[in-house]
Amino acid sequence: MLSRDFKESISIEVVSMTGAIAAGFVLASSLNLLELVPSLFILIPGFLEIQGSISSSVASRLTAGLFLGAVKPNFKAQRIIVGNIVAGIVLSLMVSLFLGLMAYLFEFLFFNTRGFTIIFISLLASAIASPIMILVTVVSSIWFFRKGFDPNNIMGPYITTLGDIVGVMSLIFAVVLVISI
Amino acid sequence: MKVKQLTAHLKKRIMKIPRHKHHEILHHIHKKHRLSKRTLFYMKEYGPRSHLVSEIVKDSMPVLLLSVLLTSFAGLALRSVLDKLLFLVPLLIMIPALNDMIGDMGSVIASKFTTGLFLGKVKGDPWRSSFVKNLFNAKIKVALASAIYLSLLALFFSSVKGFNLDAIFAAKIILLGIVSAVIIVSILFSVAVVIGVKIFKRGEDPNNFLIPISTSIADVVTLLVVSLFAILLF
Repeated sequence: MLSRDFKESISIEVVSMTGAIAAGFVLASSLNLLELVPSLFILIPGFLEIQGSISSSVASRLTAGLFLGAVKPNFKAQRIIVGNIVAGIVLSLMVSLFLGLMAYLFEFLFFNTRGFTIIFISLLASAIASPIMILVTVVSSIWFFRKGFDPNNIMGPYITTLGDIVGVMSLIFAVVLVISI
Repeated sequence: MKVKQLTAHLKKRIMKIPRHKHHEILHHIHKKHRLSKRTLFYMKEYGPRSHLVSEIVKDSMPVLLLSVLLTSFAGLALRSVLDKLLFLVPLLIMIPALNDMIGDMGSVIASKFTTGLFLGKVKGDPWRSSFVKNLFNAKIKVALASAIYLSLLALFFSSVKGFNLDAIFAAKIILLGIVSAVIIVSILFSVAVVIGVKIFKRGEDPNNFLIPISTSIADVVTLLVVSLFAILLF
């Protein structure tokens, strides 16, 4: 007989993995593009990680504020909400710049290829992905709270999965834009 | 129990407390007005007159940069097997899901083990504790079931994309998923037990360190193990 813990864990994992497989499918469907910018493979794990991490932290801070009553459960502009949105986007852009530089440096050091485009791709993809991710995070956290759910239990797997899908699509879009320019 | 309202005078005194300092007035207010320390801490950090954006950016930046540095090495592992990956579509489809699953496992193992420590369920040698053994068995079962599910899903999606599959190749992909998951979950479990016990004995909360470090280790080790198996099996 399967334990309750096993059933709970596996049901969350199945939803999370199905979303992440969709992100992998999008990635595999763009192989021709990926071949053009090989350093993208150095960028991908870190880029997906930061989209999930930053949005999870925003969700966690807002949830704490909602439970403590410091954040009102409505969609009006409040200081803490606006501050979290701005901080999330600023963090995402700054870390993406660092990530782009790391990808450029590793590609140059280990594969002897120079490609500045990876820095622009990282920044552009972040500029596309982070506003989407953070706005969805804020709206979902408040919505789940209003519906009587604890966003802490739901937002983690939901945000990392969404981060994978939005992150991969933004990267591909950024590659297309940078290459076409 | 009725909670008393803060007077305007007390509110002004809280506002004047320098940031980053835990003033004794907070303990006083906590006791007298029955406001939780969490509420007071939250208002001190994010309340009016706090530098909300710069505070969040400053606090989060070091951990994020460390995480990005570690995951760049994971990306380097992936880049080094690029030639193989371009022909191993099921593996490419599987990688984000495997990474996610292992990351989730890392944070769940860390938080459950820490909760066990706080509840006094881990006494003496942690490796002999029934709580640790049960937790390991439960998480390995979830990891195995998840690895089989995501391998099958990756195979299905790659066949939809027109990838030519045979039985041996499919078996290798499933084997790669299972073996990677078991190895990485065992490593994450060992990290949680060894580091968690040390931090707990120092009187600190292992959650603050274990969860971010577990997810970063999960990312790096997953891609290193997958890259290694890609070289060995294909």
